[in-house]
Amino acid sequence: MFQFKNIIKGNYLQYVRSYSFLITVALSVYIAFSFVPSPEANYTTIRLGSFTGDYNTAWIGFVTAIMSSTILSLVGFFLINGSIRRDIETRIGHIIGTTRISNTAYIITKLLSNFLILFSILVIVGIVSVILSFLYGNGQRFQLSDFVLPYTIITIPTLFVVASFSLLLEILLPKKTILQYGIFLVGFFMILFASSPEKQGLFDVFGMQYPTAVVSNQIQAMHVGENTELAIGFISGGRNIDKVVTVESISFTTAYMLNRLFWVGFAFLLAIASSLFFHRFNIKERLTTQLKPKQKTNGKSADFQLGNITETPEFSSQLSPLIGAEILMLVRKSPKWLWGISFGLMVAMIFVPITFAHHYMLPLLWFLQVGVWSDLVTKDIAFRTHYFTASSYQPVQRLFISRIIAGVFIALFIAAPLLVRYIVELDFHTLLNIVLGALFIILLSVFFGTLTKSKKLFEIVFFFLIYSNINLVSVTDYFGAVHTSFSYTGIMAVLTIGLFTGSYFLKKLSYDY
Amino acid sequence: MELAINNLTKKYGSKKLGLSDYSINITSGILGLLGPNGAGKSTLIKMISSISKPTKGSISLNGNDILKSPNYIRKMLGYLPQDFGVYPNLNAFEFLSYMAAMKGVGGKGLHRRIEKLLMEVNLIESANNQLGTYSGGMIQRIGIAQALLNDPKVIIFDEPTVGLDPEERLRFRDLISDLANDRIIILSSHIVSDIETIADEVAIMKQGELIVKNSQEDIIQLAEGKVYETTVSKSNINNFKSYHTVVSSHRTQDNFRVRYISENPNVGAENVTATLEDAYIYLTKN
Repeated sequence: MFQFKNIIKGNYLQYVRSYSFLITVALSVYIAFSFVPSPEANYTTIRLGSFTGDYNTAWIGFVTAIMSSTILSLVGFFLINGSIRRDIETRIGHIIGTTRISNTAYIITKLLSNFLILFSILVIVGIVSVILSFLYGNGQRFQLSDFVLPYTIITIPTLFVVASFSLLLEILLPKKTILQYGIFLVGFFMILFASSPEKQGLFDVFGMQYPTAVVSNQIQAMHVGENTELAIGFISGGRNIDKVVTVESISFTTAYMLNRLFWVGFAFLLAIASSLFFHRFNIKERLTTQLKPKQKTNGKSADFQLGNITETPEFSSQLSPLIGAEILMLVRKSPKWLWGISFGLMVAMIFVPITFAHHYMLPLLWFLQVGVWSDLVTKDIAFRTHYFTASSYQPVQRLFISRIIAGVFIALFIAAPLLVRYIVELDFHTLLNIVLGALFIILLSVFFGTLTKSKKLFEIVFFFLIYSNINLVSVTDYFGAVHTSFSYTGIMAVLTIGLFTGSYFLKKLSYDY
Repeated sequence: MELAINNLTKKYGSKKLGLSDYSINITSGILGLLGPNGAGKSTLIKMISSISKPTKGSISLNGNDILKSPNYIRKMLGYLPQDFGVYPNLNAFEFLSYMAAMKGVGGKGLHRRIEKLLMEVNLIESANNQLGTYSGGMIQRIGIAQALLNDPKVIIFDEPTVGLDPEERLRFRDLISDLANDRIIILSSHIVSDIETIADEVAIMKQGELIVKNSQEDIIQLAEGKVYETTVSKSNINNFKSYHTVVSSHRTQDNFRVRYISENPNVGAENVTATLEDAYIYLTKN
C-alpha cells in the first residue's frame, strides 16, 4: 500500500511540478468561468427547453457538475493521455519493467494518478463556481452541499471512466496517438448520445439523465406542458429573463448512486482488464508487425576517409530546402490511413453545400492534423535534436520561420478545395478569413509550444476549439464560419500578428541568443 | 585559427556554478577535454557552440566576438553532441540535406558531398531507409557525417566513439588526426585512451575550473615519480583503497595487483612510468 502511495505521489508530483500544469490551472479557471456565463452573457451552457435557472447554488452546482462531467472529460482526456507514453519516452519504463510491480498494480497506480490530476482540476472548477455563486447570486442562500454532492455523485465517476479509457487506448494502441484521439472522440460523442435524457438506460456514463429529469420535473411543476428538453454545451443566445426558474437542491436516489458507483467499479475493472494486454515496455517484441525492423549493417566498418571528398560546400541561406524538409516531416508524421480519410473529406468538400464544408468539414479536417501540428516547434525536444537546431545558422530567422511556413502550407493545402470554391464565387473576404484561420491555428500551436515546451496545451485548446466550432460557438470561430464582418477580419489579423510576434520573441529568448 | 575564452562564468540560478572564471586559448590542432562528471565540460562546449550564453566573460574566434555574433561560429562549426537524436521520419540523405540547409550550406556539389560522406561512414546502402529504423551505431555515424557536412573549421566532438566498433574507433581517431591540420578540434571524452593517442594538448577540468592545459608530456610529468604498483591481498584491498588514490586494480589468483598514486608509497611498491590516465587521476582526485 505504501509502495502504491509513493508511485501515485511520484506520478502526480511529476505532473503538478511541470510548467504545463500551471497553464492547465489557468485553463481550468477559464473553463469554470465559461461554465457559468454571466447573467448578461450572449450564451448559456445548460438549457431545458428555453428555461434556465436562477443563479442560486443548486443551479450553479447542477450546471457545473454536468458541464464538468462532459466538457472536462473531453478536455481532460488530452491532459492525462500519454502517462504510459511518457514512461516509454523517458525510458523509465525499462526500469519499471524490471521491478516487482505487477502489471495490474502499475496500471491501477496510473489510473489513480490520472484521476488525481482530473480531480485537481475539478476542485479548481468547484472553487471558481463557489466564487461565481457569490458573484452572480445576489445574496441568495449559500449551501456547500449543492456543490459537493453533485460533483461527488455525478462528476467523479465520469473522471474515473475517462482516466481508465485513456489507459486502455494507450495500452492497446501504443505509438498510435492520433488513432487514440480519433477513437476517443467517436467514443465521447457516442457516450454523450447514450447519456442524453431521452435515452433512459444504464449507459449514462456522464450521469446526466437522473439530475436532468429532476430539474426538468421541477420546471414542469411550475410551467405545466412546456418543453424542457435538455440542451448542453455552449449555446448561443443569452438568458430569457421570463424563462428563468428557481431550481431546488437535487436529492439523489439510492438507485442513481448505485448506478454511479457501478461506473467507478467499471473503470477499475476496465483498468484491470487492460493490464492483461499491457506490454510492460517490451514494445519492440510485442509490436513486431507494427514497427519497421531495425536495419542490419553490412558487416563492414566505416572507413572515415574524408580525403576522398573533394566537393567543397557553398554558403546558402535559402529557406526552400528547410521548408521542403519540414513539409516532408509533417506529411510523413500522419499515418497513411489518416491521409486517406483527409483526401476523401477534401474531395467531399467540393461537392457538399459550401456552408457545410466551411462550418463543419474544414475544422474537422484541420483537427485531424492535431498530432502533427502540436509538435511543430516541440519536436526537437522529443527527438533530442535541439543541440543541432540551437547551433544552426540563424535558427530563429530561418528554421523557426520555415516551420511556420510549412505548417501554414499544409493547413492551406487541406483547405484548398474550399478556397477554390470561394475563388469561383469571387468571395475573397471569406477566403481571407480562412487564410487568417490557417495562420491563426498554426501560430497558436507555435506560441503554446514555444511557451510551454510541450504539445499538450495546444492539443487541449484545439480539442476545445473543435467542440465549440462544431457547435457554432461564435467566440471560438477563428476561420470565418460564423463571422462575416470586416471588423472580425481585422481582429483575427491583429490576433495572428500578436501570436507571431509573441512566438518570435519567445523563441529568441529560448535560444539564449 | 584562434579561439580565445576569457573569464567565462556560467551560473545556474543564484548558487549553482557551472563554470567559474574559465580562461583558455585554443589554436589549430586537437585539444582533448578531460574531466569527471560535473566538471563543466558540457557547459563549456554548449557556450562555444553558441547554444547557451555565459553569465560573464567573453569568447572570440579569430578576433570576432561570438557572443555578439553567434552566426560567425555557426557557419564554420561542426558539432557532435554526446546525447543526440534524429528525425525518425527522414532517411539519411534527407536528414543530411536538412542539416546542410540548417547550417546554411547548399550549392551544386552538396548532393555529391552527402553521397560521399554517407559512403565514408558506411551508410550509403541504408541511405534510403528512414532513420527510425537505424541502430545506435548507425545513428552515431550519421551524427559524425552531419558534423562534417559544412567542411567545418571548428569541430566539437563530445564522446564521439560511443557506439562505434573497435575498428571504427581506430579509423575515427585517424580521421580526427587528418582533420586537424588547419582546424580547431575539441574532443571531449571520458575515455582517456581516445584522447591520449591523438590530442596535441589536453585540458583537465574539475568543478567548473581549468586545472591544467598543456601538452600531454608536460601533464604526464606532473604525476611522474608518484605512480606505483604493488600487490595487495584480497582481505586488505578495501582498506588499501580507502587510504590511497587507486588508478586501477587487476585481480590475480589470490591477490590484487594495484596501480596507485602516492607521495609516500608503501614499502615494496614499485615506481612505474606515469601515463595520461595517471596524471588525470592525480590531478582530479587529489
